Amino acid sequence: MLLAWVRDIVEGVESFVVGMGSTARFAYENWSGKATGAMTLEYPAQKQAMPAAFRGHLFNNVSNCITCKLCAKACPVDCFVIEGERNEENKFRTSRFDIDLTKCIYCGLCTRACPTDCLTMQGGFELDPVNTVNQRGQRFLFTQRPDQLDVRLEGAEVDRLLRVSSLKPGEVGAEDRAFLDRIEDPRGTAIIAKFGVGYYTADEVKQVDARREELKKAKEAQAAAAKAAADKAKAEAAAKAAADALASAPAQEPKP
Amino acid sequence: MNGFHQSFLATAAWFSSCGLPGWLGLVLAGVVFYAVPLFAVVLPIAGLGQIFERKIAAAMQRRIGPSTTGIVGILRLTVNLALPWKAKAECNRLAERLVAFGPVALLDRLLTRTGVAQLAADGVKMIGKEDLVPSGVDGWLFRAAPYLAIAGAFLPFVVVPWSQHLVGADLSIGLVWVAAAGGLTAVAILLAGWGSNNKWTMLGGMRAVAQIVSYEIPVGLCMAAVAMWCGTLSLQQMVAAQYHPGVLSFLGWNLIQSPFMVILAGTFYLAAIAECQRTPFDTAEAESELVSGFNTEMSGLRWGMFAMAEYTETFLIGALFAVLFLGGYQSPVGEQWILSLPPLAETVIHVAIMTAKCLVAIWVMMWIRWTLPRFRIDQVMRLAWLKLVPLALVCLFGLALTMLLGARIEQVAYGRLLSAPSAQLPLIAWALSWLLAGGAIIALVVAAKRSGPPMPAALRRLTTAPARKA
Repeated sequence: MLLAWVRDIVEGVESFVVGMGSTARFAYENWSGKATGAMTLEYPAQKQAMPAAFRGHLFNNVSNCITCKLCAKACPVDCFVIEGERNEENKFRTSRFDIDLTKCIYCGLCTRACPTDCLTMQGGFELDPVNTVNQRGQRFLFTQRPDQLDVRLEGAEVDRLLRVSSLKPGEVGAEDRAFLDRIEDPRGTAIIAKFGVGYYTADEVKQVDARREELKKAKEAQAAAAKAAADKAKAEAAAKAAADALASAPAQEPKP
Repeated sequence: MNGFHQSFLATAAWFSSCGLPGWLGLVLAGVVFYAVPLFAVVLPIAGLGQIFERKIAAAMQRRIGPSTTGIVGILRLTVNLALPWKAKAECNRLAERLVAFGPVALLDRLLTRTGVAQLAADGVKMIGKEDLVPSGVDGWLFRAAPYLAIAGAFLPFVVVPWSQHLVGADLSIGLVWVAAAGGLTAVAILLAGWGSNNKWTMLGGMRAVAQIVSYEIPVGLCMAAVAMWCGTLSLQQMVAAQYHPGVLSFLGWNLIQSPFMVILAGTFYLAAIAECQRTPFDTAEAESELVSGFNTEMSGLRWGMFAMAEYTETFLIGALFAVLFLGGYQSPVGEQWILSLPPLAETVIHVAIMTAKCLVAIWVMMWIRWTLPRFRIDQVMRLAWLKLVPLALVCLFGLALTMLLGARIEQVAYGRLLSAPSAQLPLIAWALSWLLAGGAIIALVVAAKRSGPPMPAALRRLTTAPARKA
């Protein structure tokens, strides 16, 4: 009875000493800089390199995009808004490629569906609401390239655009603004890219949208005219065929 | 009594001569001479305690801990709070220019890396929070509890001696006062638990009171044993009883007077940790079971008062441990010469030594906290009643026997009996007590380890430190 009691205490003290020793060793190693194993990263200052297959933010290399919309079909949450149109050379191109990252579940199915491998998942995983609030009020609406209308940018210009687009609205300097202004639509439209956030004012965005709407209407009108012409031609052809048939009806019987 | 106390009395008399009633003069002088210095010393230490605890926890868990808040942040915070407009950009520029300046940069680095600047951020956050009093609470009890907790934590400091000349009040019943005033904490926690009208707080409060009442018994027994050994209840005289002339002053400390004292010190330390509700005994807070226990409903400064009380109590335990076992404010070597210094120098040195002893005790407390997991409430109670109380009783009787033996030996060896029992045994008695008691204890431990079945291999692996990888 007494011995069991003493033994209980002795064993308790022994295991206590072992535990204290192990925490003391950890503390010593940590303070003396000899620590091995996982250490905390001071996150905003130090960033961890993501593994190659990391499924981060989506990025679409629009110059390779064929607007097949397979990604939109593969997407289980419908986070894509894709529009395509033809330029005056009648070449088809993507005019809009928006990914609503508030919906995206980073499943990567769209990248598998992409036939040209232009839609990829990048290493980035940070969402800064300030940087990603679109002027139209859609949060996290990413247009990763100067998608709109007709511009094509290469190399250093893309890098610069990416850098400028990551700035906050107030931080875009005069030089950057001038740079953005230089990017012109081949057709003379002043504003092409509604890139990222913040650079364009609501008015400018309205202009872009109006321009887009205008183009769309023009296209529709063109299509309607073409259709009307086609209908007319068809009707004429049908009438002609009917007349012909009427003329040669007794001569030829239609075979089953 | 001493110089400090005399100036206190003189100030009180001056207040009375100004036409104030006598009691009010005493209260005012007490505030000026005792309350303000006490708060000025203990509050920052209690606050820093939180920061150091976070740093220590981080070190033991291979993390970094608070490492970002610095001078820039504090400046911006101060200016934004002090000025009516938000001078963000100006502040930033000013702070950055200031931090680029060499010495300030050094200070900034120090504050940032040690996490001390975090204290300001935490404090402002706490003060800035909304003061919530949930509907359905018992308003009076809910509001009174934090003040009682603070009072319970600070009142015992009245009798803690910091040097020969610096002590709030050297009561002849000092230890009794410590136990009694410290008991307020139990009331505060029960009030908070009951008054919050919440199941978690209720359970936490009940647990806390059960635990505090249980652990006051081993703590009281330990105090009684030391009081018996020193022949006094006054903390100042207790420190004086541990004085040993010569170079090796630490030979007079209670801790090494007898093997029983060593066990007693361990018992006291554990029981005291349990009494101030720190992990591994924080069943009253038990965030994994009770949300936050008794202070679940407390917010902002009310919660802050409880936290402050907790860290003040750790400081108190450090001070008590030092007084009871480690010779109080006395230096481990050459105390004789420190005592002969002029009063001011002596006070400064002694306060520094006392604070260092307190800090070591606090550091060990934190070390324990980040080593052991929380006990279940039944384990906590079992530890108190089945282990600590019997241990303290055994040590009490052991010490009484040692004193008798020492007196007898003294009578035989020196032909005289001491007029009063002495805290320090004559050399022969001291050696004999270590030999006899120590031998008996070691024999008991060895016998106990040999008795019963051996520890299972799996358990043994757990209790031995793992081999380090090369």
